[in-house]
Amino acid sequence: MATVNQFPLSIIAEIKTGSKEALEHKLNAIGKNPAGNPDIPFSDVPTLHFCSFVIIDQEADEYPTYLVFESNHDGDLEPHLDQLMAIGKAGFDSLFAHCVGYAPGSSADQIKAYMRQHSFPSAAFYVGCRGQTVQDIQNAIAVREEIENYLDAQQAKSNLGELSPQAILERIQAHLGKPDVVSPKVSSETLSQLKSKAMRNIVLIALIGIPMLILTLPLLLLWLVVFRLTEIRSNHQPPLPPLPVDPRPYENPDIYTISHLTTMVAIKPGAVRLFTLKGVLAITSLLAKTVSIYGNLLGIPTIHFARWIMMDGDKRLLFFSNYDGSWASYLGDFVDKAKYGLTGIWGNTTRFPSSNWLVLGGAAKIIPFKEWSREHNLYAPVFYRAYPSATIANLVNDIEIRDNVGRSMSASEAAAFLQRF
Amino acid sequence: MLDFEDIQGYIISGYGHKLYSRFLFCEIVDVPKAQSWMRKVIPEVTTARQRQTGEPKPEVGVNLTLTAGGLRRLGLDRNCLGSFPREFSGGAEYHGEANPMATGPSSQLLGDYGDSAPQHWEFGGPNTPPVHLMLLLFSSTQEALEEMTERIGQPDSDNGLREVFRQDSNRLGGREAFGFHDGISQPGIAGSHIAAKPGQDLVKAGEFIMGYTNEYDMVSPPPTVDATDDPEGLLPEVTNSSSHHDLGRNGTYLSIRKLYQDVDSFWDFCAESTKNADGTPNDERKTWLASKMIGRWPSGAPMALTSDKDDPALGQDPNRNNDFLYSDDPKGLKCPMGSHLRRGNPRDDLPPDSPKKSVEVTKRHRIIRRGRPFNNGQGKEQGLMFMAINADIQRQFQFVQQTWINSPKFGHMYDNKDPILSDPELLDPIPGGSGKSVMTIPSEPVRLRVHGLKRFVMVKGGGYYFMPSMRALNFLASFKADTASDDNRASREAATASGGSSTEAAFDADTNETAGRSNRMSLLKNAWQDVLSVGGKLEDELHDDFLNLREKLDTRLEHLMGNPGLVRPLFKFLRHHEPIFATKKVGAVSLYDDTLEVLGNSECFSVVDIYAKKMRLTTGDFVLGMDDTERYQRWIGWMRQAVHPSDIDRIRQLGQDVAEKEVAATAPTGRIDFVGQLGRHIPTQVVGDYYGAPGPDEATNQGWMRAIFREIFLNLGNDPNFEKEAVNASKQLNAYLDGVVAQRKEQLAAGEEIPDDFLCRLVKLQTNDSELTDEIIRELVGGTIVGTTPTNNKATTQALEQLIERPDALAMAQEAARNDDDDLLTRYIFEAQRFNPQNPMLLRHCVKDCVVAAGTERETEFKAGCLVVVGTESAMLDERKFTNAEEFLVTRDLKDYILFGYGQHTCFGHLIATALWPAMLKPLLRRKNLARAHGDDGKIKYDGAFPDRWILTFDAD
Repeated sequence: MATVNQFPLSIIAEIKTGSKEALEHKLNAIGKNPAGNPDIPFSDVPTLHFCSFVIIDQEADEYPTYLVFESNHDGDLEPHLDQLMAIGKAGFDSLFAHCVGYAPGSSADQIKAYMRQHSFPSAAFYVGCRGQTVQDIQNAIAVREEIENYLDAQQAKSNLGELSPQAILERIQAHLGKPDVVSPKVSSETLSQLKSKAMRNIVLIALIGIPMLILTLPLLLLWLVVFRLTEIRSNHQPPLPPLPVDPRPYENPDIYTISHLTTMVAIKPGAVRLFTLKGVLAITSLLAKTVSIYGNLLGIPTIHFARWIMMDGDKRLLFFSNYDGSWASYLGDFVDKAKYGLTGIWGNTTRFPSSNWLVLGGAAKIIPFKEWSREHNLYAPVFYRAYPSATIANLVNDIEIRDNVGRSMSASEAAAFLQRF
Repeated sequence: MLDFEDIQGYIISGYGHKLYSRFLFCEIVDVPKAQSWMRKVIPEVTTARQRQTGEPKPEVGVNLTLTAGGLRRLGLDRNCLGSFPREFSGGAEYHGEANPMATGPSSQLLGDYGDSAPQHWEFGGPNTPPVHLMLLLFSSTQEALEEMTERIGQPDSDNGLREVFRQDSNRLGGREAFGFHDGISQPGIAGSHIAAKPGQDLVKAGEFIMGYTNEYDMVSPPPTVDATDDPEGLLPEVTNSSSHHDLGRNGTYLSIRKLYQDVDSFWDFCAESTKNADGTPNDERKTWLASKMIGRWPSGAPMALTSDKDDPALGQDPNRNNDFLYSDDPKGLKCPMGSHLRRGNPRDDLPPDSPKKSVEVTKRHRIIRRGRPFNNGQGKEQGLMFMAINADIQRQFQFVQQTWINSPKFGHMYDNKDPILSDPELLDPIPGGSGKSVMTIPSEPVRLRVHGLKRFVMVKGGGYYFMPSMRALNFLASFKADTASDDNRASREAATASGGSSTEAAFDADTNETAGRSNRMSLLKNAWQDVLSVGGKLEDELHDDFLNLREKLDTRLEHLMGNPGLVRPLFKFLRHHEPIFATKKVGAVSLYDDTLEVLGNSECFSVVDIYAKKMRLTTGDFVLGMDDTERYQRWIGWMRQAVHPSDIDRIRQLGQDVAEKEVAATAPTGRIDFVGQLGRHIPTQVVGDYYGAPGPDEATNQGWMRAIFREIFLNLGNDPNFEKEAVNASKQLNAYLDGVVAQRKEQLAAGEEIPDDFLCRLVKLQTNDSELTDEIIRELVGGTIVGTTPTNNKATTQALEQLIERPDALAMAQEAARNDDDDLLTRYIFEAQRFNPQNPMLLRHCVKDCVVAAGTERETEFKAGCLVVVGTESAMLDERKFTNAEEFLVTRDLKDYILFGYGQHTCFGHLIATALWPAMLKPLLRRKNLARAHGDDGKIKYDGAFPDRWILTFDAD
């Protein structure tokens, strides 16, 4: 079976003046039960991993208030939109009715057209479990849970006694072969295949990239000088007063499992910054497509999906992510594991802790960095998760188990396999 | 180079050789006196210099810390508080009373819910007085400790202090309560001149002391004061800024938790889980399981070095017992990934990072544990005063607690929380969260999963404490708030210093008419914020989100009910300035007429949304949760048929008989627990005898009613644990009631005599009325009795307290009791309750737009969807109805009081209660010299909103 890939959908529509409150009210109602609310029961969408609605508040007179709907979905956009319409046409209609340029009471085709018109491309997009559809993931979870319960039951009856790892594996296989037990659906592209693909891509990138670097070295040096001057100038600007913090994202934190982080920041003015940011995002996008393809992004092993979107004529940068664990540990992970990448991107945005040479400083200033993040977090009144209690690390293990449990193994392979539980 | 003379000694050393310690948690009641006390104590404070090798060790250890509330009480302003990390201060908008460890999300992150919830704390919780400073005393002998307390520590009013809580501890036992050698692994502080032991990680000083480089190679921004606030220059200047002085340098934070350890439950669990196949106990396996959960054997020998059996020689050897890593055991076959030890300090194995990276990351989250075990007699109350030293509360203590200890996903696991420190019975504490934690013990060929874990360690108190440098201590001891700069603050401070509520002062300061309306509105918002503890920014629209605000009100409701100091000033302000306060989402009425109007209009102001769902979840449908429908009329009709006018005398007699018996029993000692023996006991007897539902035993019955009442009336914030408890209780209660109904029906069918009580009368009614099903009988009885005990208990306890507060009134009430003048006594009880009613406010949900006080100048419309807080207490302080409202007068008309609500939902039991109260109080009131017991016993001890214990004394026989 061919691999089905995952894609981001980002719909950004301007909210009519005076409509925000009513819209927010509606979203809060949906957000109480994203999976099963009557307006848009998201769990009925088979291609949907995560989705959220976010309201971006008006900023002075410069930018209007926006409604954002973003989803991470399996396969092509068209069937995904059809599914959204099938379960929530009226719901979307009632939400878009508050948006500029939308005719309330539109047909499904008209709504889809409106969505396509207002969809934004991602400057970079990352998938944690590449090629795994919602059904694949749910199958992997079910298989592991089935085996865990089977092992518990056998151990309670002391049935495993002195059995060898291979013998235990055979019993598991026999159990999974029973008709009323969940049967493993092996991935079309296994994690080890993805790993070798990533290795191959690293070599390819190096082969192409290093000569390119050498060729463009004079230009790069020129950029570096100009950039550094820009940086020094912005580091000399007086610090801005702190922004108010929206407490809502922290009031009911989903403490241990998957949370949602959305940040909206203004890009620092000037062509040098914009050019640099676009360059860094292009590199991020390349790496996310070719190297970070099996469960970690730039060393961060806790992200299911992430995307960056340039908005308002390249004036602002919007970031969405679904991550495991607490906000504090996520931010800590960011800094511990990806501070250069982080500073490379957001160092080009306003209010970020001052940085040097593109990647130094910035996020490494942990307290100001966390404060910056707090100030720019957006609240998502609706956040849907198809598999709310599985971390990426869990899923990687689940998929490995599911894809390998049916194989015949050597004694040492079987012993190692059993340690996955 | 560390500035040893400026650093408090406890940061560098835990004073291990001083076996005795005392921790005194105090409230500052008089700022100048407290500051002069601080100046007296400062020369005694042990510094880090005295802990250096070669320096003579002091006889005693003395250290001093302050909370954010303490700093605010000393007069430091918002800018200063705001420069502290928000985990410590609660943010720049901090109002100075609530403990940031005990509020909102922080509390959830730490796992403090259920029995560990702050409302049950012994200090630092919403039901205990605020803690402003904490004195730590250490010594080699108990005598020296007492002497030192005598000499400097007395937290009394001469020193401007009030003792809130005291914890004594000694380390004579040598091990923590579960029986394990503890406190072995501690990070070393780089530059502290104390040699690292083998295996000890050396961590940069900035992780534990402010002003130094930390593990990010940064110096964190310090808390600061404005240079003008430090004219004498006691504090160092902030690097690169002469306008601010550095309050933090050489200081740190203590994250404190009082942890109660349930030793029996822990070992019972280990024994139960490791029984042999034939059911016999297996002590060896029991110890093995406990040690796997901890990560060390009882001797302290690490699992990582000896995973088969304990090795006491290894355990005792400080050069070997901490010298190990985990990266050679990535699966946890020796030391389980889920063990307490591995979570608290993952060393070089934090998957997926390399060992080197893991060490680097781990070092950014280390804490120094300075805990002391406590044992308050016969092992009944034992545990640990846990104190963590950390320079960044959020990145260190909170992170470890949340991400390593409480997270079921630690180390790439699925459903393992810390088996020792967390609540394994709730995998994810979000509303609706489910699942239980297991303990996975990696083994060959395949792991073992141990199910059925319980919470073995409960949190009983805590907070974040700033341990300032010596210079900062000197500064704080001499700091004078510049009151002129902030009038509002000054008035608040004045009030708090004189012991009043800050909110009250804010209102009083504003009662003059010159103050503009906008100013008043902002004060009102501030007040709401104080009351609701909104935290964070002050929204322009306070009521932006009805549901959110609703939740805030709800989660604090139990606190509000138990805390008249919050509700009363708010309503006083409303009466004077905004008698009808209405926004789209929330509103309040505070005057007598408007209160009756709202309560009397159940068509617009409904109770259904407020109570019905919770009733259905517990005792089932009940009249209090119904609008005035046909069904309501039928139900209330049955209830009315089941009570007879003559019942009043019967109840009065029952109450008085029990009260006389109880008081007589205590007469030889002249000492009575009013709540346990009268307030709660008598209504429970009424439930048994008159309503016909005595329960299996009194305590169980009280427990059921308490849990269900709390869920329906106070847990509108939906704490899942309260809900769980109530659902459990109601399952049992309902099963019990079903049993009684069935039994009575059988007896009736068999022609036997059945008692003449509420339940039996309903059973008899049923014979002529097929619509009255067994289920409805159960619901009618259940719904009725649930409201009986908690309310009558609180009403009588608080009424008597008000009388005792007023010697003249008490004497007159006693005279009435002796003369058997029930009518007069009732007047005293009613009037006393006016000053502290059982329920100071009621909630109603506006279901359609409705104008209140039409035709008056305060005419206001409430919009559908608005939550209306009806100030019944406030109404009884309304001068227009209750002239000279502040005076205690028994000449008022009894029907004017709103003690039982009003309108459709007037308390069904109001006549019963009116008869019962004088009967309950009379025998005790007849005693001579009735007074509170001395000390804390004589203060009403509340369990949540309800009195739990109150000792009174009188002349013994």
